[in-house]
This record gives sequence, C-alpha cells and structure tokens, in this order.
Amino acid sequence: MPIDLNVRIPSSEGLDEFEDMAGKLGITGIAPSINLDKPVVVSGKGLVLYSRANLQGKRIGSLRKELGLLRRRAVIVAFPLAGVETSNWAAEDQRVDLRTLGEDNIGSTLKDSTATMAKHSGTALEIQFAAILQSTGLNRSRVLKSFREAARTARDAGMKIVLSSGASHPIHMRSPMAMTYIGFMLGMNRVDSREAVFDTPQRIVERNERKLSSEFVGPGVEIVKRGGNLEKD
Amino acid sequence: MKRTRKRYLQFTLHRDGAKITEKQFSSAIWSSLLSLYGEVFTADSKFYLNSYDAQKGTGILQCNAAALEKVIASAVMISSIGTTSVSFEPKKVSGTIKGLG
Repeated sequence: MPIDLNVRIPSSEGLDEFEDMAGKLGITGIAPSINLDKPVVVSGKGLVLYSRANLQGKRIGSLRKELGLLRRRAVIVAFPLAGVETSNWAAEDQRVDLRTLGEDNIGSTLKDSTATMAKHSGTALEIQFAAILQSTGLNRSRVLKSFREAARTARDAGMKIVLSSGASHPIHMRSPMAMTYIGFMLGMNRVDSREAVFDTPQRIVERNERKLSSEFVGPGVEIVKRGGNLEKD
Repeated sequence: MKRTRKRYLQFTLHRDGAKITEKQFSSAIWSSLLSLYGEVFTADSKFYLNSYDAQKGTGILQCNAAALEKVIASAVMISSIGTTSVSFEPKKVSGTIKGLG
C-alpha cells in the first residue's frame, strides 16, 4: 500500500484532481496539508486521506504545547530539520513521526547524533522530492547534495527514511515505482529505496492509527475486551 | 566488440496540457540524462525510444542494462516538456520486447 505522506493541496477544492492523479499512479493513500474532519477519511474515490500536522513552533516550550494539542488529532506529525536544540528535542520525542527536509529548508543538515536519537525514538527522515523537480542546473545540484548527505547520515545511523512528493500540483506527484528510482538517485540501494516508499510510510500510519484508536491506553497497553463487571450482586 | 545487454522499459507519460511529440520526449530524456550524469554516461547509455503513442502517452524505451536505473531516474526527474507539465511513470522492465507482453 504506497502512501504519499506529504501532498500540499492548496485548498479543499483541489482535492478532486489529486485523488484522480493518485488513482492513476497507483497510490492508495495521501496525507494532505488541508484540514480533515477526522484523522482518517476515505474519499468517495477510495483514496485514504490521513491528517497531517506540521509543527511550526520555534522554541521547545511552544513546540511541546503544539505537539500536545495536535498529536491526538493528526495521524502524521512532522517537524522540519532546523536548529540543533529543537532538532535534538524532536528526534528524542516519540510523538514526532517525521523530520522533514524539503524546499523550505534546503541546506539544513542532519547531524549523526540527531539521527542516532531519531533511530531510537522511531522518528523517520522525510525527503520531499518536489524541490529536485522544481530546480535546474547548479541549484538542483545543491538540492541533491543536501538530500544525499542527509540520506547517507540517516542510513549510517539506522534512521528510517520516507520519500514523499511535497506536490502542490497533481502532475508533480510520482508513481511509487518512479519514487524508488528517485531513491536510487539519492544514494539508496534497492531495498532501502523500496522501504522508503512502500514499507516505512505504511508502518508509521498503522502505528499511529492504533494509537489514535479508543482501545489504545499507552505503549504496550491496549483494551482488548470491553464488558460489564461479571461479579454482579 | 562485445555486445552489451539491453533492457526494455514500458512506460506511461502523464501530462497536463498539450500533446508531447516523440521527438520532444526523446530530447527531454537526453537533456535530463546529460544534465544529471554527464556526456560520457549519456553516450554509453545507448538510450533509444522504441515506440511512443503521443495520444495515450504510452511507449517503450530501450537502453544499456547497466544504465537502466539512471535512465529511468532521468526520465522521472523531467517535470515539464515545453509548456506541458509531465509525470513519467515506469511500468515494466524486461530483457526483450516480447517479455513486456
């Protein structure tokens, strides 16, 4: 089940076109930037929409507050790669799913120590390839350098990688097979690239859907059966 | 000279706008390959567009087996041809045209 975890739909009116394109390309789920009524919505065309929240705060205090409010509402919580302090905080916090590297923060670096922390907390590096598609020549070379370095650091530390489109127009989306070839270009091997497109996004979504369900109490604790008290008077 | 192994790729070119001709599409792949991997690699890739239906956007391309991954990556990186935005979708790879079914 290939899922594109970052689709920048400008408004809910544009959703229809993205649904059509996702259908043509064989994508079964997307995480759009628009507000959804529920964390998971199945559209009329059978595409699964997962709510996504991008943390905007600049300091750890405000980020913690924002995260507390958003975690129970969104399936995907992402935070861009930024300064060392906030990066390390986000890498350690298990509630953050993705550390994003895209057109808004090209040049941000992923440190080895941050990647190692992220590996232990289960946070993945998200690479939005729209930035590669929209640049040419020397600019594209800079984008590729940034993405390849981050991918190498993540791979060496054992941090998972997710490839997403970051598409703001349906035609900027790519099929899952095409995305794996972008992974090769970023220095990943066949196994890692397939994992970044097919397995890791799926695993993150499944994990968070479980957490958002009413049966989830805490890590390792779930309600398996509900019922009244059997020892009635 | 030792013969090189070929690979054939069946693909679909999705577009948002005017039709893309075979020549335009072939040139776009050459340019992308040249820009991403350089002149020597482009020459060694032996890329050739076997067939292409401009209306449906479907077709078959061939290249050197060793260059396949990079040829596909170059095609995937094409975001527009002329004024038409495009999205390249690789479908199936085979060692023979017959194998593509």
